[in-house]
Amino acid sequence: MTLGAIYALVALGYTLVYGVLRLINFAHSEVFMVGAFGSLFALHAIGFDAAHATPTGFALVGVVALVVVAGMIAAGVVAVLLERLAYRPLRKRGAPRLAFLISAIGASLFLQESFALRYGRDALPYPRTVKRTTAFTIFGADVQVHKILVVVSAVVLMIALERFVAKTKLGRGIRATAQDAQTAQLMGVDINRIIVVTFLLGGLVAGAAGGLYFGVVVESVKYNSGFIYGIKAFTAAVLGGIGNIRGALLGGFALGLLENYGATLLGGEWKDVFAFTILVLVLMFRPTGLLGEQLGRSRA
Amino acid sequence: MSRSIRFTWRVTAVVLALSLVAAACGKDNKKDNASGGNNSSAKSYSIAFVGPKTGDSANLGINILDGAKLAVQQFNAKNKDIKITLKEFDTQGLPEQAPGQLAQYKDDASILGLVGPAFSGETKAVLPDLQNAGLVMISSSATNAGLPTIVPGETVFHRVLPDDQKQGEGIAKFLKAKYAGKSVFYVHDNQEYSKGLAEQVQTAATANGNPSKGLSVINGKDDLYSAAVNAAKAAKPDVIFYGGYYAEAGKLKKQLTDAGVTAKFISGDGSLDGGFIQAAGAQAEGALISCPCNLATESSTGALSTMAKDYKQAFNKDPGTYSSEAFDAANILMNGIKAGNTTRPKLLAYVEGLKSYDGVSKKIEFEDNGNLKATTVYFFDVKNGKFTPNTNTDEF
Amino acid sequence: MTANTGKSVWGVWSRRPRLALSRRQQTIALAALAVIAVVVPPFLSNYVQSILFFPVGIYVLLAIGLNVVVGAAGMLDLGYVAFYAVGAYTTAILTTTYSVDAWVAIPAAIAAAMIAGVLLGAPTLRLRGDYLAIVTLGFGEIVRIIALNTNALGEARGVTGIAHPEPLGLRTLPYYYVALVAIGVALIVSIRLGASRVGRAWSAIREDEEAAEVMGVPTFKMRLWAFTVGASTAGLAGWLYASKVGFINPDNFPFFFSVIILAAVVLGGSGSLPGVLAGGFLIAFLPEYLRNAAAGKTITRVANDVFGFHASDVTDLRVWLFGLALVLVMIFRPRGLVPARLGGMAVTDAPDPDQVDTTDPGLTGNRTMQAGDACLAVENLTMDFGGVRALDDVSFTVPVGSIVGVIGPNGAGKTTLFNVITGVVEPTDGDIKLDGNSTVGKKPHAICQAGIARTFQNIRLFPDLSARTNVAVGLDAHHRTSVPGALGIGRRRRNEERDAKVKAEALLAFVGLRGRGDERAGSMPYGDQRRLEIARALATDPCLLLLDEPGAGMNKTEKTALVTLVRRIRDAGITIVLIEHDMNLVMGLVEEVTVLDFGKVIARGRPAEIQTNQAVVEAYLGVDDGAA
Repeated sequence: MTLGAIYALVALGYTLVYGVLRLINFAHSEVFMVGAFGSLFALHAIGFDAAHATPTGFALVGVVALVVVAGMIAAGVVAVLLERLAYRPLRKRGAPRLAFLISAIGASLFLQESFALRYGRDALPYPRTVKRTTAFTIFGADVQVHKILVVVSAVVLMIALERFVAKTKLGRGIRATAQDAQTAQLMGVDINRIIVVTFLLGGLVAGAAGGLYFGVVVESVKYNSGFIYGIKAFTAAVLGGIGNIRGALLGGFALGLLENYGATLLGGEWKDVFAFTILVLVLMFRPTGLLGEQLGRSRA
Repeated sequence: MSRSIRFTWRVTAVVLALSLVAAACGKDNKKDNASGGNNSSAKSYSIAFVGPKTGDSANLGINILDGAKLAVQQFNAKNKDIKITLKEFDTQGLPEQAPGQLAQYKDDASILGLVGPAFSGETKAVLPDLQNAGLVMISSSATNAGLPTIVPGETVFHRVLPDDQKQGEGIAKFLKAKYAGKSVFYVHDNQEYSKGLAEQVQTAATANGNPSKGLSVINGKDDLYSAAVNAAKAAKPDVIFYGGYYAEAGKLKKQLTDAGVTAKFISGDGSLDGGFIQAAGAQAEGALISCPCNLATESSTGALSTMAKDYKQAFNKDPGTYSSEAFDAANILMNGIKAGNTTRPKLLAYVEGLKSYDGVSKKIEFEDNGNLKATTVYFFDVKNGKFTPNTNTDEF
Repeated sequence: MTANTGKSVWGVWSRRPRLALSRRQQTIALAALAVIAVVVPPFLSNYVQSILFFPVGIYVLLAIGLNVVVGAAGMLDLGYVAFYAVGAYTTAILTTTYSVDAWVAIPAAIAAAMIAGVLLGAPTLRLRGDYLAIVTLGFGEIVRIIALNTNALGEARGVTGIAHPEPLGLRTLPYYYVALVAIGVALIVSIRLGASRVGRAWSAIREDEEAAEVMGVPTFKMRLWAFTVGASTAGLAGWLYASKVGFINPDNFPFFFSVIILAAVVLGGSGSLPGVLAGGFLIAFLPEYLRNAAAGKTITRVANDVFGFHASDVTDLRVWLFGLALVLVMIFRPRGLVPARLGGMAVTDAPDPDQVDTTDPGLTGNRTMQAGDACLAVENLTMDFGGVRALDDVSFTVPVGSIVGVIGPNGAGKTTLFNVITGVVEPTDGDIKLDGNSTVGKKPHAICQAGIARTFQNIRLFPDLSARTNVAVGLDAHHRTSVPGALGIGRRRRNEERDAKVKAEALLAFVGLRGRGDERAGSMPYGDQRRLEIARALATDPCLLLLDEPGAGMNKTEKTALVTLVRRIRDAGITIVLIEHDMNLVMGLVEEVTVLDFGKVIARGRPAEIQTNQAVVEAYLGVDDGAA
């Protein structure tokens, strides 16, 4: 469940950007990673380190909020910078789609290595923010408080994002641009602004996910931490139907469960094979994913 | 037409120019190599460090490199008539990078022997060529049991620590001595080293009367090992043995402790790195790490303690895993050179004929296939966030 | 360095976005490159030779192979390394477990990779774009994980003691030359396939897959071939690597490797062979160069000072610099360092003017059908999309040699009708007969080859191909050259190529685009694009031509010319159905009109009758339900 929630949150970023730009934002995994680093630095900045006692009560709420918000800010900034520096110049030049992909890969390597060179290649540990206590036991498995916290926070974020896109003016702009960028532009939608907002939204959600997951659950992060989750989240987005917000959520949870199931059934070494095989089967029968491409335009 | 002819001429000119430059470069290279560092009055020779200086395994490579560096510095300070240069070849620890570096050191006639290659995989990739070049190698860390048999009849391969199989047997011996009859649960991350070690210990320990409670495989790339942790918890073993490297071992130890598993956590030399303690945090306490290497620590004694102090002084940090082994490997090669074995065939013959060498890490005697005769495995506790020697297999 | 020289450098750079080399010059440049590649390496150090074999040679070879998939056919493959792995493991297992000679392993490695290509391709190639990308990515991982967990493949141990091909042994230089030969072969394969029906089909699929299928391109088969050809090159590269190094393990084949090769293709110029050569070379060589470059110290110091890095030397910075370079190159050269010329690898040269008979477009028209027969019979056709009934029990016939109009308000189902007739969608119910034979259930390309051609409401040319290549794609509907034929030396390919060039020129002349075959289709004026689309449809040599709003967006003069053109097409013996909104155009041109409204036929008859038909007038003007 925890993993599924994280996949879903990261998948949202892929789906939003894909819906609007028809672009696989390959560097999104690094946005996720930067969010986690942002949380870590924020904890260091307030002097909260390993020696510090695990907080309770209001202090706990404050620390978790700090982890989430710092992650969001760091990731949001990086996502917007990414759009500005690695994608917008390409859009201006009318570059082919492959060029975006390579630029994204380049940006991804650049970000990873920047962190590796500055902070080293070993994982940096977080201080413990949430005490490990078992909330309840279900089917013989312990469900721990910190995991519930992460899943609940993730669901709140998902609902918030879904509402934002469905209800607000900016959200309408995103949907309009996703359906038909040219018409949206004619109708007075500022496409560039919408694209920046889309990247920002994806970044904020991924940053929160990065802070929650690496900061609270894993309690360590390193320069290439984002990579594998990026691939999984992208898979989740495709599984659900890329460009479709609910599809990303469904795909994320489905992939999380599939992997868990695969690991239990066949052993940890085969779980990726299991998940990818299911993906191929799903795509053979539903070529645009479980829920199809609702946010994306229907192809003429 | 004339444009096209002019174009042809231009292209031809460029081709000729490039060929000349390339030919010149090629010659330059050779000249460089021949004259490398030959300008002082002392006789000058080189040995090579081969291993990762960059990339994900850089930590380990630097431990080895610095151990060898220290040995070279001390040797040059003591011997005024011979100057040894340590040349460094960065393979990133990857088999696919190894042949490119090989081409460099193989061609450098001043290099008489290798400290390295650091890892088993990269060793496999270059061993046939090393044999072909008659270039003697002493690895301080490649522990794959199959290495001596890759090239039939080879002579160049040597290592100054027991292999994985011996380590597995050593750990089983330890379990029998200290945890007689207790049950063990095994975890590995499916890499060659990890799997081999875990299965080795499992076979030997089960035969010694330590019942196995099962085995779980993790994917090292994951951050959460829920399936393995749940399986280990459900199996209720007395001991958990992990085969693998420090980053994953640290995460696993932490998650096991957090899940309330109190079984003794034991792992092999791949986990003997400060990174284990960093990754597991406070939960690292009480873990026991084995190594066929003899890690130099603050609490080491004798020559090893001197080496640890010198190392700290030279590099402003404590020696790492395999630093002392690299120190010994470099010294064996340099002693050979000092004894007048100043060609590759002579140095190879010297190492092959070496009866015994008292290294700082251990007494070094090679078997015919290049393996170390001694099979001692050392054990270290994690105590107060540091590795502290506990025991070794010679003690029981 | 003065400001002046700096400016001129940038001036040249931006004024010549493409390396405009003639065919001849390219040949010379390639020959020169080949001479350097053959003559120079023996003079280089062992180290450089080793680098030239791996990574340079292997990367270049893989880039050429991947370019077939990505550059030529436009399929995004993120798991290309899988085929390289299959080739390497096949070599490893055959030469160790089964003691097969290393040379004999070559065809086996290639064949195994091709089989893997078919296995992956057949079930998944119907997926488009990014879905295919993720599936290929998954496949790459699956292959690696299988190798990692299968005892016979050595698991994580890998395979050691892979046989060296004798007498190559342990030296590097011979392998370099084998790699060079492999690269040469791969290049020749790419070039020959490019300049054939196969290359044109790939380009068409890349530009617009659905339009390609409707124009008679067997898209599934051609995509599968692209995959297989790409895989075969990777299989060969796998053999080369395994037999040289003698040791492989699953770590040699990470996902990142696929990405690197893809980066090489796109960085150099997707679809451009010189570009791909350059891309493969640079991506492999630059990191090695940086290892030893003198500039390294400066770069390292600057990066450490500015960004607070802890790099010990420039080797540490390689990947970082590589990432930065990828972004910068894509920003300043979005189509790669050596961008593909028009059409990428698919070229259709101008024919020898003496061979072209501009008066004969080479149309066979009605074939065996007799005047008065029904060329097309639509019987009780019904089409449901989810809950929406787009066509409802539509029936009509089109007599041979006639011009029939289909009119109706927007959303009446006219274009759906065309889509059903051409097989783009399969009808829910009913039948369609061309000259008495049912076409229902056939693939669009088969229907096209049977004699139904169409144009599209919103022009769907292959914009990045030349006008001539567009028409040649249509002509290929009746060509048979496939991959083996294009590679072989048989006469068919030569004949078909001449046929394609000559007939394309005649067809261009027929629609009034004589001498404009080399223009980029997507850059032509709107009216010319409409005419080019008709020429492309005619090239499939149809007996029935479906025109979807051919007059849309045309001015009066162009419409007059269009009317003349349509009549000339009919006079060549081709039956025509056209959808049109311009009543004047319809009424002046057609002999019979069918009116659709809400998917139903509400009227049929001669133009004059239709104009006064009450139901039709109501459908167009709308009726007030309350008053009815």
